[in-house]
Amino acid sequence: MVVTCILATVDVFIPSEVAQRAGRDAWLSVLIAVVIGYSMFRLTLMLCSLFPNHTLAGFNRLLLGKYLGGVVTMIYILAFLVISTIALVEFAIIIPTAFKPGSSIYLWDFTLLLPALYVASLGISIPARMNELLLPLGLLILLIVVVFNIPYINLKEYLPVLANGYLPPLVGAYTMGGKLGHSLLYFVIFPLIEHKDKLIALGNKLTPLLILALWAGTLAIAIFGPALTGMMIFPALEMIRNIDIGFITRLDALMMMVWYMGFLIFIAAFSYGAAVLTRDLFNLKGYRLVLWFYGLVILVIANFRIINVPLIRTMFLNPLSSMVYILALVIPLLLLIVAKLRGYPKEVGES
Amino acid sequence: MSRPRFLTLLLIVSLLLGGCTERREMNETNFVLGALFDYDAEKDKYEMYTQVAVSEAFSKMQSGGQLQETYLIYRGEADTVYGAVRDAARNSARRLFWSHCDVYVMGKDLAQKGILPFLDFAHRDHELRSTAYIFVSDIPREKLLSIKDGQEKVPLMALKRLVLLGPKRHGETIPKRVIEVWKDQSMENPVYLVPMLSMKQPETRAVEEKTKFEMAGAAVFREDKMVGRLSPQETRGYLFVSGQIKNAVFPLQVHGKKIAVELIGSKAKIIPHIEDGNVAFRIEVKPQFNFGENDQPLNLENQAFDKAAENAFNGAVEQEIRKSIEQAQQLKADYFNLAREVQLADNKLWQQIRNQWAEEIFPDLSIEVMVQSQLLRTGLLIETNLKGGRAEGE
Amino acid sequence: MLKRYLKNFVVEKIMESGNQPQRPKAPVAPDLNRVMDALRQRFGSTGDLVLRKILAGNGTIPVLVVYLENMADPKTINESIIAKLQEAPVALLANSKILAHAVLPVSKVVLTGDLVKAVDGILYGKTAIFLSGSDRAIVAETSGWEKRSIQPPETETNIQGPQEGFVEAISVNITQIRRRIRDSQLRFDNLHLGTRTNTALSVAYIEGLADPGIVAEVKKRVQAIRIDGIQSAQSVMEFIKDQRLTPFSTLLKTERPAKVVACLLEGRVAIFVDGTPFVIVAPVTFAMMLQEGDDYYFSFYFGSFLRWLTLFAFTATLVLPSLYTAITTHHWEMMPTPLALSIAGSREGVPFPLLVEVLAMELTFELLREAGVRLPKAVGPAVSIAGALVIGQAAVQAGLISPVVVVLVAFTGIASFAIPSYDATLAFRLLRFPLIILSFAIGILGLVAGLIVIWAHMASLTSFGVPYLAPFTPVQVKDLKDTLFRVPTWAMVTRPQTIPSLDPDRLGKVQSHQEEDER
Repeated sequence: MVVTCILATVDVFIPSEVAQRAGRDAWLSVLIAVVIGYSMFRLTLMLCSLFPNHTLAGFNRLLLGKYLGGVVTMIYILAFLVISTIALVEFAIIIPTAFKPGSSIYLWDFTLLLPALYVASLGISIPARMNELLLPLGLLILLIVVVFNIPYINLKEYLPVLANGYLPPLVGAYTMGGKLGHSLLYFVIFPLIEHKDKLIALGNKLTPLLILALWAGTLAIAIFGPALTGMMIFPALEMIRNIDIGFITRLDALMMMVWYMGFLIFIAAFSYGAAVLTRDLFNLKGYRLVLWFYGLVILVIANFRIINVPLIRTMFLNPLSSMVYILALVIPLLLLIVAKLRGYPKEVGES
Repeated sequence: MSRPRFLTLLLIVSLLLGGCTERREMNETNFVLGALFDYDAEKDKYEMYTQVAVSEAFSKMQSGGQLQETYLIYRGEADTVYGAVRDAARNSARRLFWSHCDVYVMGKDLAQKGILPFLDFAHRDHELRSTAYIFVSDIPREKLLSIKDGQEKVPLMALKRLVLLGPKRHGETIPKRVIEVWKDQSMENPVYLVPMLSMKQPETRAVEEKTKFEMAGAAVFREDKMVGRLSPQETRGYLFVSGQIKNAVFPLQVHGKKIAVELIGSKAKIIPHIEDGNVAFRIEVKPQFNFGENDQPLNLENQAFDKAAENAFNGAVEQEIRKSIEQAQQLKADYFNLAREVQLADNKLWQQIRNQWAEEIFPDLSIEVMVQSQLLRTGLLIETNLKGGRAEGE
Repeated sequence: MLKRYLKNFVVEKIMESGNQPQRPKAPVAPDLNRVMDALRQRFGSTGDLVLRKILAGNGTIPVLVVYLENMADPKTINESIIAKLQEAPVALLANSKILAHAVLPVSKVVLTGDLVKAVDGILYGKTAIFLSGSDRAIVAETSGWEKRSIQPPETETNIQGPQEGFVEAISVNITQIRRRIRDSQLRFDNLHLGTRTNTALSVAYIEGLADPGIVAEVKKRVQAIRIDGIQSAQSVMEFIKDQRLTPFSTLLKTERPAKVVACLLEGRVAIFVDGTPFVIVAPVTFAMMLQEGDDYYFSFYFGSFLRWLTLFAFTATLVLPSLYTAITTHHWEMMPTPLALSIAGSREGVPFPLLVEVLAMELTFELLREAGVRLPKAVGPAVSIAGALVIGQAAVQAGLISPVVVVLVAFTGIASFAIPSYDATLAFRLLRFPLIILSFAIGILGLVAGLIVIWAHMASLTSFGVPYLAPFTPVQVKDLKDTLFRVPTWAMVTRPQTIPSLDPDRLGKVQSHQEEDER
């Protein structure tokens, strides 16, 4: 599921950003970024497996005490909300920009938010199960896009390697890696997962898949060249618009569908995360009411000011990535150290 | 919340907000199927002409007599390209819908002024197809729009087929999509070709013949401006180098006899030679051909003749390529994109010479052309003779 | 996690269902006149109650024989009860027990001291025999009324499968299953339902195969039903569904014994309801809607092809009209140019917006379809053909409707007929309409939004704790062998894993003889 979240959002804006920064070496950025993402994943799991029956809110309290733990949890709740909000804003921007400039933003907000919240309100198992089908479907469409684009792909565009030194791919990876930090989600859903031991193996299996999928995203560079890809806002969309085989043309709507589904799962997952954390923080009975309330909050924030494409693109660069790095790398690392200091694995083993 | 209630909610919301979407009825729309963009130097205005389908003519359900018109022409002019497009809306009672337009013709005046405004508009607007084909036309615009191709209900639609067929029939044109021009245009030292559209006036002898489109030759663009023209042969030379040519017919003179051979495929390799900062190129082309026609009694079992034919063919192809290279060097237009080959071969050197490439290095570049053709088949006949006599083997 | 959910669920439901209230008992009086009074009091002046007083044992001991005319078989009563009673020696009339066991050559005899039970028996066509001086009544099996003979099923026709269908009589239906599963482990647990109709119900399962939890749950839910009358399998289903509000049928009704047998062999539970030719099967997954039909009786290649065809038919029924609406109102660029022009041309002069057009045609089709069902058989085909011709052709010619829509609606209609399970189409036929409206309003995103909501809803459905979309959401690879594909019988190694079963292996184990039956 985390992979879907990543694919959906990463393939939208990122190839363009990465192309701007890393140019022909974007494929290297992918590798580095995945390494970063994978380390976040392992770190998250390490921390979570110390407390198999607690969500983040639970073990924060255990580790940091009632108040400090509560504050840290609050930060995460806010972050989850921000991430969902940004996803919503992104979506509400993509559609009018690329498909329907004349429509109200609220319409798109609602078409995304309502089903997402509904899905989340059924419990996380529903989106997770749906995702078992959505992920292959998404990958299949990605594959179709690539296959149909084969005549235009020129892998030589990736050459020469490291034309401008080592910095560009690293900067690109920094941007991209931030988007891979969605293993944050495990902080919430970990207690609910049935086969906790298989998770790492699953992650290992999915990682090459993720690399391939992200590479597919950077194929835009092989098709359009780095300069043009950097000029485009949605290279992935351009890839699908580039298809023109017989009567198969202009499959924009297909891409729109894939994005929609990705964003939907994404928002469902993160708003669920925020709601469940809140529930655990305040020991509430259910999370549904909180969820719908957060839905409202997300909607309001998303329309708080007129948000335009340039703003979103700036957001995507450093601020957001840095936030994710702090949340998925720095804080967990600190928590992990605290846990080790307090000798947590043992205690859990005994109880 | 139960699903029926939820779906109802979704429904209500969508209906309330549905009013905000752009929903269009198909029969309130004009489908643009081909467009001509041009620039009027006297008025300093961009012009746009579109051919719009009369959709009733495309439906099988016609009641009554045959419709007279299958297409309509709309015209707009303004200071910008988009303005010109929108200008036409004043005359069109139905919204002009661009997503199905596959053919964009640039007038010669516009091409010389610069097509960037068009490219930008075509790519920025989500409605226009970036996979549409682009042409440069030297036909006067009034004439262009009145040429009727009997096969297509909207004449400009014929251009797409015409250009796609080109490399497969004569190799004197090169299909180019808007997105490809956009890509070429975004490279370093952008120089590229766009197919040239001209017209063929009817011979007076043939009574029924009408004016037709002719797709041959290419326009050379530097950045977004047209800087020169390639003759059909020079265009074909480029196609040989880029390996895009599929099929063409070449008349040859072998041993004093006229024959025609049919090219059936060709491979090309561009090999840069870099020594001490000096760049040279060798272009290897390996075409394959069949015998297409013999004018004289001839026995093709004769190996020597086949060899001679191969040599003659080599010569013909080499000459076309050379001409094309000469033209390129004369125009200082590296449309073969040899610059990229240098970059791939030696990036450091490229960083040093990139600024001198177009003006200084390329025009005097030494380019060696090697053609190695191969005779594959002779067609269904092995020998041609007259009066039952046996053709002397040569 | 799923298991946890399931457990909670089952516990909840068990808590919900209370105990069956005890019905008041009435003792059987030894005095026949009091018995007659009591019976008259219960039955009133109904005309079909027969109270026959005879003197048995050479005219010494009065015996009361009670039955309902037409419900009981007069021949059996004459020959096996009245005649035998009259001939019986006095010695054997000492008490009801001896009488029942020594005198009456009737297949099934029950002794009861409860008048209410005797009355129940009478209502089922049995004969109650009251011996003077005995406080126990003999209820002898004499039911015999006119039943429909076994005929091919009407709603689930097939080509090469068994042609027998269920009938209204529960006894006949149970026999049909027994005849196909000759296993002593096959259980029929009989129940009665409806305070007034007192309908016979039977819960069937194979012991040692079906999950005892599910069997208990089924019984519990059935017994929890409080209603005066049960007339159809549907009303039982509506009571025992997991989620009562969903439009999807999370239980299956079938008319074909062969299918019930197959389900029993998969460890499912069947519920027979008297008076209806449909048998309920539980638990059920959506994939089962793909399974019926002929696929088990054809070559497995074609069987698998049929599965995909059915899947396509489902999709087409649900999505096609809305997809057309979405594309022709929002996404014209997706269409090939000639098609777009052709559709635009055919819509030329049509006065209504596309939504009205599509909805009107869909409604018309539904009307025609229902009319075809209601009309007498002789008129039905004529009306549907005339209707289709007139409405289709004339509407197009009059310029009211564009021909493409007619093609589309016809195609959707045909697709919905191709779905073997009639029940399964109903939800889809209904949901089509909101989807059309959504796609008209928002385009393909609206369609996808609607589909996702439907999908999420379906994924949240359970049928006796089994996820409704089981082999697909969540994905269970092993079960795909009998859902997306129909693998050869010898390759169907395991029973569906979604259905909890005590014996997951189909082949080569103890009960292998069962496998020959249907699959």
